[in-house]
Amino acid sequence: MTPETRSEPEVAPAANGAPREPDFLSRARRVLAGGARPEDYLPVTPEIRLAVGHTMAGYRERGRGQELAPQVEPRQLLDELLAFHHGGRLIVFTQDAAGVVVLGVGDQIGAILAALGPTHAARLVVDTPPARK
Amino acid sequence: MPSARVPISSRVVDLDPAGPIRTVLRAVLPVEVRTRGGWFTPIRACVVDSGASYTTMSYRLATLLGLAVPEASSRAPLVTAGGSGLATVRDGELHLRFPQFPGSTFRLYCVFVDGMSETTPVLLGLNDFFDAFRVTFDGRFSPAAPAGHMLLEAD
Repeated sequence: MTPETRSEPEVAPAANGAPREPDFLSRARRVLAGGARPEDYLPVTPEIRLAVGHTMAGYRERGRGQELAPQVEPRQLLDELLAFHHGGRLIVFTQDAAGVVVLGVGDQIGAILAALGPTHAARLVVDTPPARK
Repeated sequence: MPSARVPISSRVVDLDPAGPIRTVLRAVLPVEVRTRGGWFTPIRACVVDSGASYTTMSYRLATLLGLAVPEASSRAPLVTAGGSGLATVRDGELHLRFPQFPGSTFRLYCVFVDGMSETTPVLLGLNDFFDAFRVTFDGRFSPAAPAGHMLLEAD
């Protein structure tokens, strides 16, 4: 799951005295290097499935039986997933075949983009998902 | 004239258990914005807002994104759905790429607003997003855009 702190606590120096980078930045580096762990991905909860199902049912009703394009449901799932976990918050996330990983929230995104933007910009997506309520 | 159809996003929400279920539509575009470092950072959803005079972005968000924002500020009237008032703003530019128009970078005048929350979406407003694009809203169903779409046409 995503690091929750909006402002990171003071970071202790590494053994060699150099400032150690905050945990959220180390985690982002690991994920972008292909080392995402199962617990990094946003979970798709039953509430999210239900919300996607409601919207898809509404679409089918509008289409009067026409088949929906294959990209519609994944797009809807991403909308609901981000809104459910991070609605109303500024986030930076990345996505792969296994799912969505939110790398930082609020002020963290400045540090993530500054450190990782030059090499990974295209994979670092900024968003403010709409609040659910 | 290059053109692209962008689906209007839609979500079903139950805001009030005592009231009806609502469908919330959003006319949003994904963009990539050029940073001071020269790379482009994707922003998933900028709101196409013909009710906004200007393209606007929170100054705080621009700072977090690492954009080039002028230091000079001025006061300007800011009208929102919540009312109106004077705001401290900085007049600058956004250099944007749109995934639907690969290979093109668009320079848009932008008002960066001090004191605006970084969670406020970027608004693509009348001055001068609509100089670069003609936008047609079409709410009819299609299999790829079941809640309707925007037709964007660029010069």
